[in-house]
Amino acid sequence: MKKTFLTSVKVRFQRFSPKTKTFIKLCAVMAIVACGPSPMDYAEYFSLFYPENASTPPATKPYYFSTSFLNEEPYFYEETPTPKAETVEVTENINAWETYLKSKVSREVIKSSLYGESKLSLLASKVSAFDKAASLYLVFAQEAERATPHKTNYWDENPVIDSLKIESLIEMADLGFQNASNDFLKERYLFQKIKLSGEIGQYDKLIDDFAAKSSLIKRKSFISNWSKSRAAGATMALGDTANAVFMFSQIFNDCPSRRSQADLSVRRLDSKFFEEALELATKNNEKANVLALQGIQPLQDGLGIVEKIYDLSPKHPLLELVFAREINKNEMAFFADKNSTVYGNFDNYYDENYKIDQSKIAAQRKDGETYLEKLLSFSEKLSSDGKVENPQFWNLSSAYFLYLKNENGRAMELLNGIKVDGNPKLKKQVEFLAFELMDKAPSDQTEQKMLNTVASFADIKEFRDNNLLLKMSETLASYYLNKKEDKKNGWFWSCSDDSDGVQGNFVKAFLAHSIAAGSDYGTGYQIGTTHNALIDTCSIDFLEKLIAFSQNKDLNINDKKLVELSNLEFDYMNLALARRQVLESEFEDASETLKLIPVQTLSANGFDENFASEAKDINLGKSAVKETPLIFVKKLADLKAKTSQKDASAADWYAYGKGLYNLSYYGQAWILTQRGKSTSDLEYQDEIKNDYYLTENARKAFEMALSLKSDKELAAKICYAGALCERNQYLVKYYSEKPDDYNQTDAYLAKMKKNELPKYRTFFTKLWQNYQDTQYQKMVLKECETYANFVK
Amino acid sequence: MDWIRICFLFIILFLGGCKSENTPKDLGRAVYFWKTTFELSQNEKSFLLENKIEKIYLRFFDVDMLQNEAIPKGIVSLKSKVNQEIVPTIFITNRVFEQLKFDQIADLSTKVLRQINKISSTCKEIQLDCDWTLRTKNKYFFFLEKLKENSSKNMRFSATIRLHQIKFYQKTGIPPVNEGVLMLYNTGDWRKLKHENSLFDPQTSMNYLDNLGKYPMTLNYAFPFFQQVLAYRNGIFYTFIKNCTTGDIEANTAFEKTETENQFLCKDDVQFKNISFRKNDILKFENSDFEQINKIKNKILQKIIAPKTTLILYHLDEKNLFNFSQSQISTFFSQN
Repeated sequence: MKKTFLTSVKVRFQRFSPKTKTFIKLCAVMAIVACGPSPMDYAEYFSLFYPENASTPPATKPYYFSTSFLNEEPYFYEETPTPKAETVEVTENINAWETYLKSKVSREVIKSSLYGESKLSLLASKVSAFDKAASLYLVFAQEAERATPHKTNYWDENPVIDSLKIESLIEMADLGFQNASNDFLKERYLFQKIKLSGEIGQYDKLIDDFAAKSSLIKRKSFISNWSKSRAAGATMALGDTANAVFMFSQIFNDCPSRRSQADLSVRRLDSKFFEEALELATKNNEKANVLALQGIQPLQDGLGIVEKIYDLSPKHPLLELVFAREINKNEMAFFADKNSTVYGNFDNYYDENYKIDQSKIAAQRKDGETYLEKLLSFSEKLSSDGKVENPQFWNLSSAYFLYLKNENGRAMELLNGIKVDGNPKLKKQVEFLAFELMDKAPSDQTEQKMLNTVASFADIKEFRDNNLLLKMSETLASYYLNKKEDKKNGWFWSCSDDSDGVQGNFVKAFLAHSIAAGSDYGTGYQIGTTHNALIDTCSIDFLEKLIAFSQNKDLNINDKKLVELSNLEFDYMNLALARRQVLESEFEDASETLKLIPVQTLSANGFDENFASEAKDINLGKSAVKETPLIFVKKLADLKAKTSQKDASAADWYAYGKGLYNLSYYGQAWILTQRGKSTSDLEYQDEIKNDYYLTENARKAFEMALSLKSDKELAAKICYAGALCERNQYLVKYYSEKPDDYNQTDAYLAKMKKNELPKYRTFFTKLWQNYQDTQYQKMVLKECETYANFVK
Repeated sequence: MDWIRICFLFIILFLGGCKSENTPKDLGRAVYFWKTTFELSQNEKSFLLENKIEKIYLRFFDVDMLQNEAIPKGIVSLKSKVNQEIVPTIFITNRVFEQLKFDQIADLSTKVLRQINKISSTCKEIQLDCDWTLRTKNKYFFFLEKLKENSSKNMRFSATIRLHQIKFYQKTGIPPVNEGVLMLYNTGDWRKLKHENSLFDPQTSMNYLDNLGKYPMTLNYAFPFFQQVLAYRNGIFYTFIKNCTTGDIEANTAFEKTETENQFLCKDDVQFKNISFRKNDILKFENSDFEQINKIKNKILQKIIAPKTTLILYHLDEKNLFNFSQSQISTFFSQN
């Protein structure tokens, strides 16, 4: 007997029609938004390279490549939002004050006064004891703050500003600047003056002040960049866009606490302004800064820019950032097969029939491969010519490209030279590549090493962690398959027979896949699979092997580890087995399996709400005696045995037919074969020509029952039950041949009613013709409108 | 005498009953204005006067989510005064209703009304634009009810309606407002390069309008009068290009016309409109075809029973309107 998965998820999906695929996707989306897994991160895509591998200055994380506008933290709706982390701006300013005050005032007081509940006057009063000038500045800063109120609620109106008051404060700031005894206070008075000038639109004055007074400050800090940022904004407001771009590009490079403002100020600007800004730059570093800011703009190819930055300033701090963006951006194309399935992207890949267009995937992949060659050639050049700050990043990039190109030897060579520092992402990246590239000659040691590495990747914090684990679990699965057979690669692993008769490999490969399988409920990542999706493709034989393996008390240490990592519960596997057994009419075996499943597990899987031992259809809507799923299946097993005997009665066949009917889409025991059902199944499912929808086995049982001797009342009941099966078969025919064109629906319905429906009325005809005088027929006539219409 | 009177009455009733669907409608004239600064150029002001525009549906602000809060975005700045009636139009993203809870909706309606009043307190009508779904319908409709509840009794409310909401109105529901505006633009699938014109697809539009006569609410109709450029890479939608004309594309030597009308092939890697294009990318220029618009407009006017409706041009922007002649605009605003 073939020991197989029935068919792989991928193959099944590919067989669906465009209509069904669209429906399935719609269902998936609905499931995501309703009760299925919600996307963990809308910006998720398939990527195996952490951008954190690049050494980048602080506050540059938003500029890693993202499918969204900026690479921000995934957004969730929270009942009670978690407090935001301290921003770079806040940290820089608090730290500066702490240093200036020589730690005579606690960090908490400084923070609370500058950004928290307390007022600046609190800090001023504490500082006045030992630094009068600083205290005076703080009092002034508070006054300036009060004079320039901003709305705290988005729905509020902008507060009115007293421009005369601001004018006088500008004069005070000027005076404070002149009298300040140190650069710390000078810088701050100048910033206040510039800020106040901006508030009342004195942009020319603001720019002049910045130009004249900034140069008087010898030891400049980030505050000077805050002033410069205001001056750049004023410059842009006055129309000198190129100059503003030039200033912002220097700020973007130099000042983490104004990086975001600098970037947002130049977004949407035409590239000609960057070109003009480049001409304004006189030094190589300044030019490189302009290019770096351009390089991180959306829809901007960056390789050409990275090359220019490198030529100008090979140790430029943003060089790796811009290059890492290109690596990740290129993964969107290189892994087009995966990325054509992610949120907001799959409809881009549709053809005219709303089917994923494989030629588009192939073209994207080819683009990805071409660009990868360019990236590789550049990274190899940089890692060898000794000019860059951090050759290790370029070696790691090259190793990654070579791994993608399947040049494992060269990749491993480079990887071996990489020293892992305190960067946890870099550590993971190196471990991942080492795992992928390692020699996988079968041995217990190899297996143990692989399992330990996979285990260390099981903690998922972001989508790349998930992608890496997914890839590694697939590599592990391939390892188990390769142990006995030729390569069986592919993202959607499907199990064929382990024809050499050795048990374990396919089971272990399945368990390996299960390591990366996500939950079907709550939140999850889009790329990957779920336990349900995997286990629902397994045959009875395979499930029995899987359970036997998992429950084997004599497993070795590696096997135990594998079972543990797979996260497959015993009850969960048994329920999957019971369902498969019921589906294949192995009722006796199913009842034995069901005995092993606790009632609580059945309750947790929806049996309390969705199971009844008799179909409402057949009972004409009346509720039946309550039985447990186990008793129901056991009875079915008995009836199956009875009906296989020659002396089976009409009543036996009728009862058996009713049980089979109850397992169908129209019954109340469907949950014994399915995880869920929808009222739209007939309309949107493509595969409806099976017994679950056709109820052919039940119909045959009723036909058999009717052919045997019985009293007339029972015969009438059999006729009605048979008629229900015929109705179901008509519905399957109706929906499976229904035209897609909305305008043809009415004509189609009329044609089906006229030509096809009469063919599905044989049981009704018998009920009317042969059993008119029965009480049951009279009751059906009264309660079943369809029958009443038929009789008319 | 009485007999003659009765006959006369019957004749009047008979004539009334035979009123032709082609009877000229009383057509109102309106435009949408969808920019953040309401500052009309001289040409735009002349356009309003010459075409006797009565109403301007002016986008006042959007409402969107920021973290866990619904906030106003892109609040309009009023810099021009006009004689036309201004209808504040508020675009609310569907995710607002996906994420807010029912008990937060009443508060949102108060905030929206207060924000409208801050911008202008003289309006007689307020329009809401939201692409609601079955999942958000209840919350959106509740929001509309709350808006009405918190406004003066004379205030009229209108809501934008999408094509599928006409065809499947029994399922999608009818928003609780005085009238709707059926949006007849962006009807095609812009993700598809082969789709001739996603901006206005007459056949798709008509396919959705079987139920137009049955739709149980007064409708006005908005038609596209604008152009757009879309870019594709490997047949996959890449990006929209803002402020781009065929002239701009033709002026750049990196692009050449393809055999397909209004499509341009990128011959080399190039930077254009602040976007990096690669060899073989395709740009597609889409324009509103006046003849098609006018044809559909007339078909709709023949279909509807209401004696009065308003035709709305989307949107007032001299750059777009230069592509249409005065005679075309006059034709659009009349039944022919």
